[in-house]
Amino acid sequence: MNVTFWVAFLGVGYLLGLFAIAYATDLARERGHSPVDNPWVYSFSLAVYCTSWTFYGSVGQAASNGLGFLPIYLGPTLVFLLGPSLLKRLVSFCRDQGVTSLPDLLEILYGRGWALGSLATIIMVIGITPYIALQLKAVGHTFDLLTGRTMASGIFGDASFWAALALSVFAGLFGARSLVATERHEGMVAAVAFESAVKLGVFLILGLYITFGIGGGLTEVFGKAMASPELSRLFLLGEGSGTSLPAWVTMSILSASAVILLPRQFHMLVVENVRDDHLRTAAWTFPAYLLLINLLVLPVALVGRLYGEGMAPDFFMISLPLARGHTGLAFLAFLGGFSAATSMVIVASVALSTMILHHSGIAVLGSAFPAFQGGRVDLSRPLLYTKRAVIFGVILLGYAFKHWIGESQTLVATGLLSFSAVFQFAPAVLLGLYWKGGTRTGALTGLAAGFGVWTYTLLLPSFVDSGWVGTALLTHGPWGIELLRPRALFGLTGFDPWTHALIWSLVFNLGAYFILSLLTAKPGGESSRPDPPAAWATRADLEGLLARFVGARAARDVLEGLPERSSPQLLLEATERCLASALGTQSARIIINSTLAWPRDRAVEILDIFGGVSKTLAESREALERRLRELVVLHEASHALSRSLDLDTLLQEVLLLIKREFGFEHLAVRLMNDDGILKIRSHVGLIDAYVVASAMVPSRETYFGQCYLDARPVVVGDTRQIDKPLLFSKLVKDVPIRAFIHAPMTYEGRVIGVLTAYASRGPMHFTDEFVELFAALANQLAMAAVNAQLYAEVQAYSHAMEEKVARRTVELEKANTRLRELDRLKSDFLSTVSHELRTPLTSISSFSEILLRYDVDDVEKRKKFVTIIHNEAERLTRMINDLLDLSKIEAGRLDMFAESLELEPVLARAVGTTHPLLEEKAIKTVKIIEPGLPPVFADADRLHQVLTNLLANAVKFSPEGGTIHILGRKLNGLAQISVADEGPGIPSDRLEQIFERFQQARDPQKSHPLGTGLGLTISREIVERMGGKIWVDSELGAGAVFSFTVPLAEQSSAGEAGTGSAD
Amino acid sequence: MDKIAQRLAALFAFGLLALFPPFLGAFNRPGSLFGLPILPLYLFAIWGVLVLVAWALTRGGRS
Repeated sequence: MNVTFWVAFLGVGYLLGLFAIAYATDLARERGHSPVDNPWVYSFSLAVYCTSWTFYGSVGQAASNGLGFLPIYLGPTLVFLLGPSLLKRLVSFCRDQGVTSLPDLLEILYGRGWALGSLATIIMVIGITPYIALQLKAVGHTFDLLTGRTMASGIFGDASFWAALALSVFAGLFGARSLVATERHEGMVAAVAFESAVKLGVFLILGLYITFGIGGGLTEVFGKAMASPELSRLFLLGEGSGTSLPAWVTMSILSASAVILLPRQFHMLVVENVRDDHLRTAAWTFPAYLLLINLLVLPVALVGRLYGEGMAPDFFMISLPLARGHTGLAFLAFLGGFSAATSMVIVASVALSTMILHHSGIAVLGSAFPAFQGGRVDLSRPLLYTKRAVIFGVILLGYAFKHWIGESQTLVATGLLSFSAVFQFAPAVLLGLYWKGGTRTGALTGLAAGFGVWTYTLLLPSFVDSGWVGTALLTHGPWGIELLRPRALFGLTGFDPWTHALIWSLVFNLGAYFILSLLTAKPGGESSRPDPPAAWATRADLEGLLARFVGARAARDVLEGLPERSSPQLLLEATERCLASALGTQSARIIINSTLAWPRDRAVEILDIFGGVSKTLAESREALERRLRELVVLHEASHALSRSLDLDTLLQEVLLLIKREFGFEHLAVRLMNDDGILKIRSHVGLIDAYVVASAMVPSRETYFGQCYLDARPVVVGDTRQIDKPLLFSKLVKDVPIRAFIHAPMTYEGRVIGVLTAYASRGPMHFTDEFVELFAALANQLAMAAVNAQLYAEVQAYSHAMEEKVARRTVELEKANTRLRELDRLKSDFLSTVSHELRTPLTSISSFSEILLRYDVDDVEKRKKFVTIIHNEAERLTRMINDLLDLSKIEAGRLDMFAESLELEPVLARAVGTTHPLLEEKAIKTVKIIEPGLPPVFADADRLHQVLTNLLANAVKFSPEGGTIHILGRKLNGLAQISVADEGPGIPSDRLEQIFERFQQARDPQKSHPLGTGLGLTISREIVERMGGKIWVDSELGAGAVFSFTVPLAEQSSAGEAGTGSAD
Repeated sequence: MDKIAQRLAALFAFGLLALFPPFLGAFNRPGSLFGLPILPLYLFAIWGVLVLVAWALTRGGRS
């Protein structure tokens, strides 16, 4: 028990040492110094490739099969010469894509989807479990060997079980420190590098001791071996040596692919790679490591064969020194083997757990715990514990395999089983990196086919070897079909099982890959991954999202690593990459996509054509496109504005343009009219009731009023928050307005109206850019509106001018006509006057000539002639007086001296004056004066003249012996005097005309009229001058009544006095 | 692919040629040199050469 204690103590102590190294490294890293950032550390950590298989198994294989162990290291050596080319490309590709495992890589290469990643993960777990089992088996076996215990007495007595437990604790602590797998596990890397150094050192020490201490030197060992025919065949390849040439090639190919594709190798090579440059150093250091650790394998194996009779070849390293009593060296060898085993188990379990979580694991969790899907809880802790549990599970699975199956196999056989499984990934990965024609279906089928062949030709036979399945399967094939024998499939014999499996799996894998890739190839070639819509994504949003999964610190680190003004697209990609490294590409994509759909308030912004495009986008393509679009809108608007000068057409066109371009359903333009009322002049989609109701003097009670008064845009993004309910209820009654914007229409510093856009889709976020644009549109509109108004005014003015001119023209034409008429009248007048003057002149001259020439002796006759001459002369005088009066009247120089007059004497005098005429026709006059008629205010002579004219006129038309009635009475505050005759009357159409010059009613019987024909004209002028009126009432055959009025003295004594002499 | 990567790739091709049949067949025979069997000696020698040349190539590129 003593030895057992010490061996266990050594193991536990060694593990504690690893803890210390890992812990110290992590501490150093937190202080900003990274011991892992070193090509040597990188190369040593890659040496995790050398496991117990190398440490114990190589010796065992060399002892039985000679050089067969070498290709396992020659393959990797050659591949690492391609480090700076092939591997560098792989590493940088994976880092760019946030790839953390092989299934991730496949999903990146062939598009996302559960199937491929999950299948790859399953293959990996199945393929690697034997490998982990191999390590545990080696640990347990060497422990037993060292302590001399009998093998495995139950699980709890099995050293490998306790080793598994301890290793899972270490892996859980240092391999799952953080969920972000791209964040390197530097503590683990340092520990692994340390372990690699330990195993190399131990192997060299033990090798030297065995070769020189036991074997007596190289030449002696080889000399003895070559002397033995059984051993000398170990130095050759081919038939009889145990390692055929095909097997040599097969092993090289398998190992070359395994050194990259094994989960632990992929993890160390790709994920833990600090910088690409390290690959260049690793191109020779890693091969050198392999060379050194293999240098003494053959001598040790030979020494074992020569001196170690009956020992298990796999464990010569321990049993040889033990047999010689060198317990210390045996302990050292155990330590070397232990470190080889532990490093592999740790890294492989971490890599596998990442893989499991990323592919299907997260999905299973998600469906089991709904909180994972949508809540806001911090998931980074639970996820981390899940990862640790998975690591634990993976290691225990390996133990289970070892416990129930693995005991029957040699170390190398178990290891090669894993190599062959992992090799199935090689075609898909290599072709995926270098050939664009591969498709998802092709990769999936190829992988499945290769894995199927592997299961059938390698795994199944290993079950047979363990005794789980009858050997009949191998010898006779399933159901007795020999063609399907697992180790001689389709009759292929003559190869070792590995080569046989390699050939068939390669045939099926590649065949399926190519055939299905070609069959399912899309015509468009490579399917491009769609970019998530990033418009809304802000730094804070994404940081919040990331913090949920990877913790606040890691989230901040990731996003702060980006430039200050990164585009949302860039932020989103970084977030997705980080999530991908924590949860796998598939889960990351799903989370990102569902996150984009989560926040409802955000969705509105996405809908909003302006909103949500954050300011950081200023320089991005989208922003430029939007700018262009805005410019186009402005351009179109100005085009529309300049197209028409009709205000309403113009406003309507611009509103429709805004509606079309920006998607507002309701728009309005309010203009201030002359009455100081802000009224909707043009609108789109508003109801008439609102249009009427909203016409008002602008006040701060309304938003548009505020906008008008402040000359500043007013923006309300969500109408649920309005604080000016006036009018608004009227508006929303029929139109579901959710957001609106008012912009003042300013022209030369004066606000002339308000442009408004209403949105009814939902609350909106109006960006500064949009408000600016909208204000600019409003101002353009203002300018156009002012222009249109000016145009309308100018048009109205010119209309007015035209009308005025037309009116004047008509007036002038009328005046012209009247002038012509007057001219004609004048001519008529002159001819009439000359004619009228000539008649008496003719009488006078002819009668006076008779008197001169002939001696008229007859006194009576002479008297008669002289009387005629006298009468004619008087008539002439009267006529000339009339003409003078008329010309005076025409010239406005008629003198009048109004005074208070009694009417009676004036009438009497007039009757007296006309007495000779009356007598001539024996006409009687009857005067009827209303009693008490007050005196009139008139010029006595002129009144007399009027009366005389009227009487003479009446006499002229009265029949012989008729009666003339003279009436005087008061009418409407005036005195009315009428003279009625019993003549033939005047036709009604001539009632006005007779007052015109020379328009007296001509006696149809007489050739020439009596009197001058100017009497009535003069009378009218006089009466009108005195402030009265003259008119005639008549019926044909019933005489005529001439009436005129004169003002009474009592009323106009004050005013009329002046009128009389005014002119 | 830079110069060093190309040269290392050429070295890879050389290794491929030297370490596999048919070239390998030439050394796959009994016999010894310096007391050591020919094939193991050859393989380790080639291996050593590959490592040394790779070392020389990458070292040359760094300065």
